[in-house]
Amino acid sequence: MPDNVMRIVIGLVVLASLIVVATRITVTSDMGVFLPKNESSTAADVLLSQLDSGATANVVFVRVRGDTPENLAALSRQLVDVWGKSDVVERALNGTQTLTESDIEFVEKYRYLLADIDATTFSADSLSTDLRERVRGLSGAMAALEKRFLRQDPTGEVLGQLQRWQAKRASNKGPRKIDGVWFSQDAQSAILVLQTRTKGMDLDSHEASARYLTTSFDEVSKGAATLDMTGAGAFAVETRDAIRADVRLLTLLATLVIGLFLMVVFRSLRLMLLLFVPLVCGVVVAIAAVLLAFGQIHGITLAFGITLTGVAVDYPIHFFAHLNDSNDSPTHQVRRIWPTLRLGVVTTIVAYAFLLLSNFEGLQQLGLFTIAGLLTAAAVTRWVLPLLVPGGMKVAHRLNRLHELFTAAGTNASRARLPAIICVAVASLFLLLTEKPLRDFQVDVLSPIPLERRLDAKSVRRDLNMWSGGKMLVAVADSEQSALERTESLKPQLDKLVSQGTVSDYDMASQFLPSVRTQLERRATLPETEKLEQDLDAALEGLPFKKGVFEPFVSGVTQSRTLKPLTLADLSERSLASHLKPMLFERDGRWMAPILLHNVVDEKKVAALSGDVTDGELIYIGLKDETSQLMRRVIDRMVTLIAIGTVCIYILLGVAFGDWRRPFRILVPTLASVIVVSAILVASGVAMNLFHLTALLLVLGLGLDYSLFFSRLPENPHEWETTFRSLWVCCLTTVFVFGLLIVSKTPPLHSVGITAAIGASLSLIFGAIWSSAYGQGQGIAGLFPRKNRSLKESTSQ
Amino acid sequence: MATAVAVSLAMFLTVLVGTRAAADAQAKTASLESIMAALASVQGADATFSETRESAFLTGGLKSSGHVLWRAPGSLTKITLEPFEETVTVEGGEIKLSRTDDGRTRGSVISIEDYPELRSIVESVRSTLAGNSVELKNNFSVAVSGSPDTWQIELKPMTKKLANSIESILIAGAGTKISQFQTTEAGGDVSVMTLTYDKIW
Repeated sequence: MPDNVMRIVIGLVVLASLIVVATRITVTSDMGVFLPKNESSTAADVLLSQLDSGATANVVFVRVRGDTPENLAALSRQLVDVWGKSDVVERALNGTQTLTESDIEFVEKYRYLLADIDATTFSADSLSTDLRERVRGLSGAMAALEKRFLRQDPTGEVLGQLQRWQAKRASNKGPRKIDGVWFSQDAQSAILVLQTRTKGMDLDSHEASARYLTTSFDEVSKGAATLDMTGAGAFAVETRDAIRADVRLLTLLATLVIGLFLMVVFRSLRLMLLLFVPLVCGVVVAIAAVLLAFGQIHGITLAFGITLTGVAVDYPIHFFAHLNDSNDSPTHQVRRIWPTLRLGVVTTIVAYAFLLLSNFEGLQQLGLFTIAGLLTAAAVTRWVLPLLVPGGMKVAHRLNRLHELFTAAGTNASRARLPAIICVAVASLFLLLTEKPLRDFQVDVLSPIPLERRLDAKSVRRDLNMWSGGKMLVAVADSEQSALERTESLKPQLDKLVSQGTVSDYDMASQFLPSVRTQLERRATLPETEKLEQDLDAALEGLPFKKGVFEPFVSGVTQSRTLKPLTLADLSERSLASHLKPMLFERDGRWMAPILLHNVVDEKKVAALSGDVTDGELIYIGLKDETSQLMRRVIDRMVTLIAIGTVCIYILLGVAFGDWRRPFRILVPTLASVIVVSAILVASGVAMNLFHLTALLLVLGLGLDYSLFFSRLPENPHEWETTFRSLWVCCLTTVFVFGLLIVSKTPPLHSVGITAAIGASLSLIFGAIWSSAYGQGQGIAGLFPRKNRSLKESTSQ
Repeated sequence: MATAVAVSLAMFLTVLVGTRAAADAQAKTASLESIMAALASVQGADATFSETRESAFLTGGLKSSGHVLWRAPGSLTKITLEPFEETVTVEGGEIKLSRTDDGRTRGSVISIEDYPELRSIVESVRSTLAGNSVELKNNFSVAVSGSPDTWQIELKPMTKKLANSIESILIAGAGTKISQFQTTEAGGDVSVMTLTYDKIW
């Protein structure tokens, strides 16, 4: 019997999927899968490296507040002591750290290769000016400071370099400090920056670090102070916990509410539990399919996929609602609705199938997930569920008053067609004409972190006066040296931008580590010992310095003339290297040297620089724009694919109905609800992001499902009642589930909830309005001849 | 480097201690506590200074002169007029420096919070003024000698970092006024600052 064959196949598929899921599941959070595959732009590379966990995920910003500044400062020092010694933390900074003596000696040794010197630096004239300055310094209040490098470095190169490394800029006062430790500008919280030993986005290890930090904080702090951690890693853990907690609570609530609701409707615990069987099987098979095809599943795919597969709860509801008191076996009963159900599944799948054609792996995963999930859920409903339903089970229909109310509205709904058309027209016009943003391309919205927390994190960076991210020029080259040379060649233009006030300042790798070529050029300008001694003697004329004071200077210059230039590798063992890391790194054999721009006033002027460099690449990146463009590509691609999918659905329905006008009755209400939901969202000030869009896909699926069932209504009055009942039960279930999501503080869940809840209601309303009441149009019979036969068989029995 | 700045200012801040100490003319024998006990009454002092710095690097002493102004509760200004114009103000957590070259004035601000050693000195002085000399005694060994008419306070650093750049600070007073104080830096450089008071209240 083919039914039994199908059952065995379904059983095996679900079982195999369970094994695949149990053994191979890897959920990733690498945003890379939402980047286009075959458009490898360098900007995207840099962006990725920013998003990539590697560089910044293990940085934790810690804020300690809730006590007097003095106590907080003391606590901050204690914490640095404790954390600095622990295995969990690589570096703990609170503003009290300065360069180590060894770093200072290193900079001192290489001063004449690192500092910006030229042939005139050691001329008699220039030396004379510098030496007079030193005499003045020695009689001033800062005499002791003068003395430190006086003998070996009378021209002040070491101090200049050290100030650069310690990021002391004229335009930047640095973070606020109280008692020597970093504080927020409002002096309410002490700030620490930690680098943990956590690798990448390993959430468990981040969680362990966070737990360590919290417990050790509790041990150290005995007062009223509280701890607050932000940072990519900390956020990831927080996100997971928040989503977990949200999902746990909402799942519990949803299960309770739906359970209660369906118990009231069906009066059977067994049926109620059975409702979830197709969905669960569908999700398991869907995850397995994605794992097999892509080797991994993205967290976003998983979340969105389950959302989209949620439409599958409707399948068993339709089935159960159609159980009648005849002696037909459940298998026969399910066959009555199967043609409609099948058409619903097929059309929904066609809509989602176009996601497979996208060149974003994330969307492909989502497409495959939904297709596999819906197919399985439908198959389980058709072939497995009837076996689990006791024969002769009659569904005790309750909520009759509600049903009557709905029925009364439903039967008269077609009268509301004109107002509905006006409503849709207004919504369409609004969407076309509104100046409100329709879509939200900011990549931030993908973050499950509530907005205020993200702003919070930004304020920490602002408090520390750190480069707040976003604007940079990136020099791209084939080697470390040519990347450095490229940034060096830009110095005159960059300095001009600073003097014009276009940017307030900039940081680039070559300020710290000049290219080998530049170092060699500087080395070549160093005078020979004899010449230097002559010039020095001339410069010392009339100054009160003792003879021989500057011997260390002369020998320093002499030694520097044979120093081997420094490269990144020479710094690797030093803490200095970590300063350089964000400004010079290799990625896939290409060297990137981001020039970090501070306070960009005129982006066009800066971007114009990238046009000046003809050899090789220089890219201007307003990080936000770049990610926005990526989001735009993802979203636009999604919209295009769905539009094509809709046309295909029309053709499919046309062929199935053998009629090119009837499909409109399915598509019009579906699209009407999509349009009106969009208009409602946009009008209420919500620009639609990827989450809303995914929920709109769900609305599309629901709309198709409802409309198809509405379109089979005319078959006979009794069927009309039953089907109508199943539809409003489906709809209310969906509204309950997604309505609960609206209360979630996690932005994605909230977005999906609000869109789906409104969308489901509208789908039902528009479905009713565009369906014809009794006796109009044709039944669905005849669409699938073979199944039609079984339909007749089942009714004749 | 931080220590170097600290030393420059340590000298400065001891003026502060010294000025306050000078107000304690009533005590029969000089002790740190008795000197400190009377400090709170001094509201301000204006003095003229002349300073000579002997350096191992220099053939002769460098001379400078100007004014020192103290205002309660914690503001100290040193205005150098010769051989060039320079003003240094210590107030709150900041050190303001301004120099005038060829009629142009350039200023800069240093946060004492950037220099832990400096901070420990500032804290020493502050807590001492508040009647608690524990912090001072943690950083320096303090020797007080003489009578209220002619007294001496000698400070020697006890922490290694401070000792790397400072050897001793010697404050000498006669009656209610500091007559002199002398800083000996590590390496032997000595600076002697002599003060004459225009006003003290």
